[in-house]
Amino acid sequence: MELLNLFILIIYFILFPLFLGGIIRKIRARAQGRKGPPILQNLYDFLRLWQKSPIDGPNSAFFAENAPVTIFISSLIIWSIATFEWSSVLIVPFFLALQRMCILGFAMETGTSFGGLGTSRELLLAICSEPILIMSLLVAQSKLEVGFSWMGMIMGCLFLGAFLVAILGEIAKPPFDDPRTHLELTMVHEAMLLEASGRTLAYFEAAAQLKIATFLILLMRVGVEHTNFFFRKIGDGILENFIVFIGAVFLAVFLGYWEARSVRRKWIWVPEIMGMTFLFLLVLGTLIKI
Amino acid sequence: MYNILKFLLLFVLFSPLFFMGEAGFNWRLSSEFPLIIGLILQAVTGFSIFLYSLGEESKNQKGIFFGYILFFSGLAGSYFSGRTIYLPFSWELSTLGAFLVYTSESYSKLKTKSLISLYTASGVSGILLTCWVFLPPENSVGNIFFLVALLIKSAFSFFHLWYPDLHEGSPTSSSAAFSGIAINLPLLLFVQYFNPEFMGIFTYKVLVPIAGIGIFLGGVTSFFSKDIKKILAYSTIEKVNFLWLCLFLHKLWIQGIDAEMDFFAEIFLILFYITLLHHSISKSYQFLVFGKLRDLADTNSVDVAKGIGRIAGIPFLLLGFGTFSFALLPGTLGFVSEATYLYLISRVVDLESGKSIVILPAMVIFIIGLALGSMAHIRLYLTLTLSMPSEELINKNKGKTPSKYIIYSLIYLSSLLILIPVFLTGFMTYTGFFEMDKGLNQWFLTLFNVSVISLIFYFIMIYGKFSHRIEKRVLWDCGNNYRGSELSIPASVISEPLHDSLGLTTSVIDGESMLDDWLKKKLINLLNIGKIWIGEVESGDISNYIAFSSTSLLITLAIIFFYKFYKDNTWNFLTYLF
Repeated sequence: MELLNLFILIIYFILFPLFLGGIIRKIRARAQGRKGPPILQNLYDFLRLWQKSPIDGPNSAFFAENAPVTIFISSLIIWSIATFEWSSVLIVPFFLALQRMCILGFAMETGTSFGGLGTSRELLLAICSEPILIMSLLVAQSKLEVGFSWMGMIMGCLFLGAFLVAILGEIAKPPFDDPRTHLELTMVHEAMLLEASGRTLAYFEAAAQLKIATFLILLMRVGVEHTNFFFRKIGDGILENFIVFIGAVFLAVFLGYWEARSVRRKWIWVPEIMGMTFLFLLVLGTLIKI
Repeated sequence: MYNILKFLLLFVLFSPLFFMGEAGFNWRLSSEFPLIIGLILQAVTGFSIFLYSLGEESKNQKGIFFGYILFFSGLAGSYFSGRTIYLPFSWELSTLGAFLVYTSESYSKLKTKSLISLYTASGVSGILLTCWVFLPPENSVGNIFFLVALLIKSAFSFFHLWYPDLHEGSPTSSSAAFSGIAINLPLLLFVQYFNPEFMGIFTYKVLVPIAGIGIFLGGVTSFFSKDIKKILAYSTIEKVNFLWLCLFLHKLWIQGIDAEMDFFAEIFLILFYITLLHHSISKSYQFLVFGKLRDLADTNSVDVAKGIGRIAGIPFLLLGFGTFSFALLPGTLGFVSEATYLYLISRVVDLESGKSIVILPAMVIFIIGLALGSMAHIRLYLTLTLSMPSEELINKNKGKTPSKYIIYSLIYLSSLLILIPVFLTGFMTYTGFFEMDKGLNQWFLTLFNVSVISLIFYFIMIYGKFSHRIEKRVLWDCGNNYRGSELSIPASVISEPLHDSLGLTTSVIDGESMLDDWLKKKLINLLNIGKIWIGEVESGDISNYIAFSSTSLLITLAIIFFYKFYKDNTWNFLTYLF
């Protein structure tokens, strides 16, 4: 049974990052009345970019050559933690820190104003979202469990909602970032990648897909593993994992729709909403503990 | 003479390690472990200061070495002297040594301010320490003096006013020595000599939030500051308050008032040692790197010095190891320290009783301060080393190359930063030196595995040529043939967006802490009370001065007299009499 579970997890591990980003794009397009790209468009883009040699600015050096691979591998590591749970989730923020350091270095090194602008915004987002993310991962690490009751469900959903706010900041989605705009003055994540091309961009895009998959699975895992659901005792974890991964697909659908209907808010609003979410999470955590 | 001084400095750094056995020091946690750690850290980190000093260009090189000999002898003497008069004596000897190091450069206003800060803090804490030495061990006033002396000397929250000024004008290697080595002494003396029962539980419960405020405000001020040295100084204040927090919680819970918290008493002490190790090595590194860059740019302004790292002649990677440690990248010392803190909080969440409701929010809020402290280092690194330098800076530093000893010093410290996590976590996991439960042991095993994997990964990336090469580089010109310096952003662009929401509420305006300025003004007003009499001594007669000093003496005696009167319950005797 354990071997079967492992086999299924390996399949999830390989396939999910290929689909989830595609599902988000597809739903977004449908919600806007467009046909949209194929579900595997991200994979096709990756393969196309992979074949091209990167070109960079004259000021690029160490980070331009090392950051893309480092970010890709660290994304792979946290994706493997989310899938196989081989290590504590408390390790995840440190690999995210590694990714952040690399992408900031990459953006600053080329010496463009957009790189610097993106860096400034990314740091602000990191400062605001990190405490919420850490707090949510602390709950994920703990043995806290809410009962399968109306009150438990409401509290659990509110908690997951707050966690989702931090996740939206981390995976560069509205209302904190909007990768669709292609208007440098409003971008965050994309502004830092303006100089990336060819294989460099392929690594960054693949890492972004892995990151989306990681956070959606983590969110579902926290929801399922910390609620006293009856199905957790059935099937040696196979059913539980199945529900986690199916739930992640639903979350991807929700994100696609959210992206279509939402826009990036003005920048000064970000610290306020993140601060409010943090306080809300603190109060909610206290209530759950009581 | 120069060679003899070099040899003597090395002797002073390493010889205490050999004397420890003679002095009967014991390696166990409960014995002289804090003193041993202090001496080891002094030798290990001090060696980098030695290498750096070899590479410094100064006319008074002998003076610098002689100063460091006194400085490190004083610190070593403080560890060895115990509760004797040698302790304040050694303490002051280290201050004298620092003064000699200051003579390596010409005096400026900032440098004079720095020296005054150093002497004020050392003088006040020296007097308080002397009182503690001469008072009986169980005397509560003596213990309060001892605690206050340590809090001042380590720049604890609200006692820290002197600390940013100290760094603002001090020579680079001295800053590294103050922040990475000297600051360990008061913390370790507290672990060694402070009996937890000297203070009531209520006092601990007051000191813990004050340390928390220090973590938060230190992190915020560091993030917004525009002065290279002050950024690092406030980051030190933030870290020192975190260390004090660990110690207060350890001393509070070790008293056995709550069986549920016994585990946390021990683990907070372990966390203290790990964080001290991280702070000592990483902060020395930061002060040496950014101090060197500051010296090259000849300005304290982080915005003016932007991009100086590109023309400093030191590789990018070598400029960044300290920052990587503070940015908590896996496999660094900072990672081991913060990850262990996170693990501890997760254990607090799982506490059976309702205590976690009180402890958890505070601990999570401290994370914000720590996160801001980390971001301050990233901001400094990005601006100074990755931005593009101005033409003026390039012309100013044309043809300058750093001494090979400065490079050796940084290589030495960076090796420590990435090798120690592997050895430390391996030591914690496999030797059983510290008594740990299964969960904690498992946690250190996880950290060991991550550190090993990260180390191998970094090694392959950098030296294994596995990174992907950029073969074509072209300028993406937007019309004016700009090449970077005109477009690259200064540090304030990174911090300004947060100013309205975080800076104003913590009264950090234009990179300066208004709270600190206000406290300084109030302190100076208090000290200026004596100026009320100035009008009376305008004539400058010696007889007037003597009269005033006699009056001061009489007031002091009167205070002592009334205190004794009150203390010995003599009032009761008077009520009987009348």
